[in-house]
Amino acid sequence: MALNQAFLNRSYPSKETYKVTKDQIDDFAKSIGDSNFYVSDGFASPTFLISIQMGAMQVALFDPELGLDWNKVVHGEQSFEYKKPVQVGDELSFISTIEDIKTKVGNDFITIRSDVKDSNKIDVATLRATLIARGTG
Amino acid sequence: MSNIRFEDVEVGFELPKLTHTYKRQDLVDYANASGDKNRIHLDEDFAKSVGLPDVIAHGMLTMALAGNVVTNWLQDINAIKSFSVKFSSPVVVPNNSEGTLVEFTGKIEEKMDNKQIKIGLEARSQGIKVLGRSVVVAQLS
Repeated sequence: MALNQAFLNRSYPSKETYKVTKDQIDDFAKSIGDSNFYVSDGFASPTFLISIQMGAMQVALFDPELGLDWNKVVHGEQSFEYKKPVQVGDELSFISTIEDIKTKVGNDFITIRSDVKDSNKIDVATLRATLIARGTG
Repeated sequence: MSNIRFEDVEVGFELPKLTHTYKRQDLVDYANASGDKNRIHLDEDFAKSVGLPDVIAHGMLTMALAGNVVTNWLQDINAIKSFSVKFSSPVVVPNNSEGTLVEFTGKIEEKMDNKQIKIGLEARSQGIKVLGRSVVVAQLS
């Protein structure tokens, strides 16, 4: 099923800010085996923000009008551009934008960009996730 | 900025490699820490019902483990400017004690302007690439 092109360029600001705690940073680092000293200094591992991006994206992706079949979704690509490291006490806001929607050889592709800022509106990072819904035919 | 000096590294340098044996518990731990509790990573019956051979690891766990190759070498979170991966093949994690071994390697591919370097990362399980094109750009001193 082709995705609804009307969703292209739609933006979804996060409704709340996400306060980063030491426990979150520590638990994430432990789950990926990152024992570098920056973690004990209160800084997050490079891919930590995915745990927040996933929640921020779901508002758009779970909208039935989009037509994304979650039973067929796999993660195709992921990127992070870093402006400053995430650390304990950061209060982060996200704006997630549907940047690309296309169908290639029967598979649906959707790319969501999430721009992350701290409470002083300073850029923290930009994430891009490309999800693929595998076609049935 | 890392303590590693731009002048001291050459294109072709191989970062110390890492291996990880994926077990089912790793997926549970990553699901809890990341919040990604999709059942394809946790529930064997569900994974098979959607056409997968078995439970598969979170792609983002594999990205994170590949990232450890770079962070363990640089020892500095500020030095990492960008990190991108393509997921080419899932890591299948059967319910056994052996688990699934994946080897992570990284190599300096390019010395760029402003003392930045481009590191290409690879992850292989039994010779099969589980990541496609994967790159970190890092700032050296």
